[in-house]
Amino acid sequence: MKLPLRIRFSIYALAGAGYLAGLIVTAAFVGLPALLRVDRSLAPLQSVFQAISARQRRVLDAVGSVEEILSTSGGSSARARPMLPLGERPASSLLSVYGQLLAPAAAKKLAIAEDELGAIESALGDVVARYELGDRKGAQAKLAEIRRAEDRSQHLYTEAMVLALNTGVAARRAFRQSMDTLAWSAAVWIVIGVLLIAAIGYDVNRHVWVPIRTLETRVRRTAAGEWTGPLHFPPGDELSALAAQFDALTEALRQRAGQHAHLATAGELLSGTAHELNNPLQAIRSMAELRVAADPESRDWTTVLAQVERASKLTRDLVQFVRPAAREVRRTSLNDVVKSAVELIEFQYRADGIGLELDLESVLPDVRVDAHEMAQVVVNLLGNAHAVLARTEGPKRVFVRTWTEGGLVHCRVRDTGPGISTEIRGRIFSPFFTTRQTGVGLGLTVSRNLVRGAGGDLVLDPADARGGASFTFSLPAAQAVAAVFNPVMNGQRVEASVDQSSPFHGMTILVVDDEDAIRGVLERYFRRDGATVVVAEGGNRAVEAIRREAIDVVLLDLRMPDLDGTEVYRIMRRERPELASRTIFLSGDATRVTEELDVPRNRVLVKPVELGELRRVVSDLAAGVRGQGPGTRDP
Amino acid sequence: MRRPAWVLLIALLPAAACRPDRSKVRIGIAVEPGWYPAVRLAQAELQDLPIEWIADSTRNVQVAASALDYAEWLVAQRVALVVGHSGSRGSVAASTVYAPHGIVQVAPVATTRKLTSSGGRAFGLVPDDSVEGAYIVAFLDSALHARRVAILYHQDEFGIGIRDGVVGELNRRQIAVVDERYFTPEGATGPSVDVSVLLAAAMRSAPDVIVLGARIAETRDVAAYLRKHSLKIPVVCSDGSYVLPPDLKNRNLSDLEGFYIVRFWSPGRDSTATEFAEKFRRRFGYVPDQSEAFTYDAVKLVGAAVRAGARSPADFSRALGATGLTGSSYVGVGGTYRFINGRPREIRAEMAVVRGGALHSVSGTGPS
Repeated sequence: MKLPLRIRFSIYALAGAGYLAGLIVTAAFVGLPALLRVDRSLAPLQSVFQAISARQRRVLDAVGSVEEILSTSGGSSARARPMLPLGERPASSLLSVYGQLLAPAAAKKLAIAEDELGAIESALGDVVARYELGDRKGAQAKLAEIRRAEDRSQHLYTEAMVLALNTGVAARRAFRQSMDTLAWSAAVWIVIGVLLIAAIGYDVNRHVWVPIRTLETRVRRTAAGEWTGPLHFPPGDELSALAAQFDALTEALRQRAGQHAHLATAGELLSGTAHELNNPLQAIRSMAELRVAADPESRDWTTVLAQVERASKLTRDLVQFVRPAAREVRRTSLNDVVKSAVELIEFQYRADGIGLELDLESVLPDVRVDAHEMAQVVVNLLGNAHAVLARTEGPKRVFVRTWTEGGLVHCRVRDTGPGISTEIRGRIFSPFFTTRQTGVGLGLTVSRNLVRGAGGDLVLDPADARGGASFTFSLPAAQAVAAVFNPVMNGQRVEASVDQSSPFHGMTILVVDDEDAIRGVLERYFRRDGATVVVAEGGNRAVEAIRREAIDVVLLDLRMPDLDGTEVYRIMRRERPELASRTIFLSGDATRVTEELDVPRNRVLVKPVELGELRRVVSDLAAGVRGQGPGTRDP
Repeated sequence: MRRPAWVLLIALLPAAACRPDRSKVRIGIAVEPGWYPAVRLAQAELQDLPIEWIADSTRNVQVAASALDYAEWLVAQRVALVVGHSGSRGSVAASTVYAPHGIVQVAPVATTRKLTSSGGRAFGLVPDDSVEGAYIVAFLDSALHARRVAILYHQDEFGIGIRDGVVGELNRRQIAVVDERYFTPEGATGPSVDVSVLLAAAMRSAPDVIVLGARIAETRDVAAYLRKHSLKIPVVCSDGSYVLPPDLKNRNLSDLEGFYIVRFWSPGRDSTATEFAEKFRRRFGYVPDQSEAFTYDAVKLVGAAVRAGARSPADFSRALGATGLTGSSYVGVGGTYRFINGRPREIRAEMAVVRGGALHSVSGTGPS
């Protein structure tokens, strides 16, 4: 029978308690009375032995007294009988008192012994009478007869006592009966106990152990990636409910895994596309920068440079979103996070005619978060709002607001959709809960976990008269410190790009890139500043150049057709480790470099890189080369 | 009916024939061989009853060890009730075997109070020794005016019971016990006791009456000693002296001339007793004594209970216990039976004296 586990285990506990209670009751009502019966039987047996001993002692004392009387010189006619320690009258029969307690053989022996002892007592009276009558000789003869009989009676008494002990006195019968009762009781209880244990064991095995083992095996196989279909436990108990939840979870994970695979593929494609886009962007940007440097008044090239910058940022953000780098918590402006997220998704809003209004507080304290994680939260919230409004009639607007209050920095995303019904508000953050046909139901769960991981919280705001759904996440404000110089945010790029000094005079720079345009631009840029530039269109040529030329700095592309940049770097580390430390990677996917090669982030520049930034990084390395002296440049 | 069923039925027939008759109640007889004429006489009058009598007249039922043996045999025979045993010693010893099995015991002449004082299923047809002792002392005091009493008795339940009854009443009446001696228990195989020596020693205390708690043999020894030494002293005997052997020669009491003997029954007591004595004498050639009379009554009393429907020990215990109380009294040759605590209240003692070899009443029935 299928019962909830709590009831099942309660039944086990009750069965165990009942068993113990039965055991105690049996001990109290069977064992104890049996022992008492033995005790009651042993007590009179002890009395029998005491009475027999007392009577024997009395007779022996009397015989001794008679001997003493007869040994006195000269006969006496005085009454001697009162001098005997026999008492006023003969002792009562022990048989009549204890006969029922003795085994038949012992009772008969006792009867004979008592008759013998009675005869001796009577004969003692005869001896005394003879003594009183002056017949000392007759008394002596009778006494001798008594002596013989005394030995025989003593022997008979001993036999009676032995028989009483050995051949079944009532105590023994009672004891045996008690032991039989106890043995039967014990046997019955053992059988009951064994049956109980077997029944409970069978039940536990069938209803608890086997399901748990099945569930455990299924979890292990699922964790190993083996999908074998739902468990389908018969409903009725907690394990069945757990199995049902597991089935639902597994199904969701399976769907999720499919989507993950899809997303991973999309990510790889996106990453590759970004890389391919970065190369022409790098060429366009470098060309434009050179033109602007030559003709600062050219508005056309300035416009080109601005659009290239915009396209570069878009590809960079997309790659970072799809393939996030390792979690990096740092002081960040939540406004910047919101802006970066909006940039990712705003084209979808525009496409579907959904208005997106930002109300970002101008003076907002920084927060200590992983900017990418928080951007993901904002994108999730905006994505949810977009999904709802895309299939809704009426006004389609989403409001994003940031503000600070009570030491927290808040961000609210509110839409003008139908809102969230009361019935599902309690489950909105539950894993795999979704109202969309294609949704996985993990967005809000993951978002809230990310916010909580950053020390804040994400909540669904109470419904109000304005309608729509409103989510707010709040993060603790970071301690106020001096703003860190950010060259990108503060226009350092421009300043760096107009640096006209020539720090590269006498240096040899190896430019490795499979794109002719990039190689050409970089070659011209660094030659103009006095550097000797060696170019290599692939990995193999680069390795040859490294082995042949005295190279000071290497600008190394990552993806190349013949020999990958990572392989070139490994060769350098092996053959020219000092040159490896002066290698700058140029790639659209910085993550791969940092993860695979353990290269510091400051030597990885994401294409399209501005020439000023590149110049600054190369200058830093060049300064190091000069400090080391010429010997370090030899191949 | 098919053949196997017939075969089975035929095979079972011999077994059914050998099977004890479960419709009959089994009654054990445990009395002296000399008392069996009384048993047979009663049995003859109960032939219409579903009673199976279990008895072995060759076995001793009085000596304690033998009585135990015989009692075990009767228990093995699954008797519901036993008529017996003969005397106090045997009855008390056997009761230790019967009581645990719930078997009812009807003792014709056992006087020991131990038999019925334990509250078991034992009934005595004569008053116990306390009553008899009190009656003897009353006679000593009122008829013989005794002031110095010597008592001789058997060292067993019978003798000690008489002794305790007599001494207790003597003390109450402030009559001196100047000497007391006891004989060997009946059946004991130990050193013998010379009754005459005990009596001679006791006589040195100058008693004016001798009380005997003895049986006929010791009574005759006392009489012989007194006669030999021409001593004239009243001797008062308990009822044990009136348990006579069946042979005519030993039933002659002429050697006890002048002895007083307590008895609970006499042939001339009333017409019922006389009729029974005559019937007995006609059939067996001698006049019964009280042992035979009460044995006859015991068997007839059991028959009455069976006739009333008793079959099991519990039935007999209930029926006999109710006799004269919630049930009707039973009138036997010994008198009217009405049991209280296992003893009849209507059976009275009588003092008789031996004159011309026979007992003659010297007083009316005494207190019971």
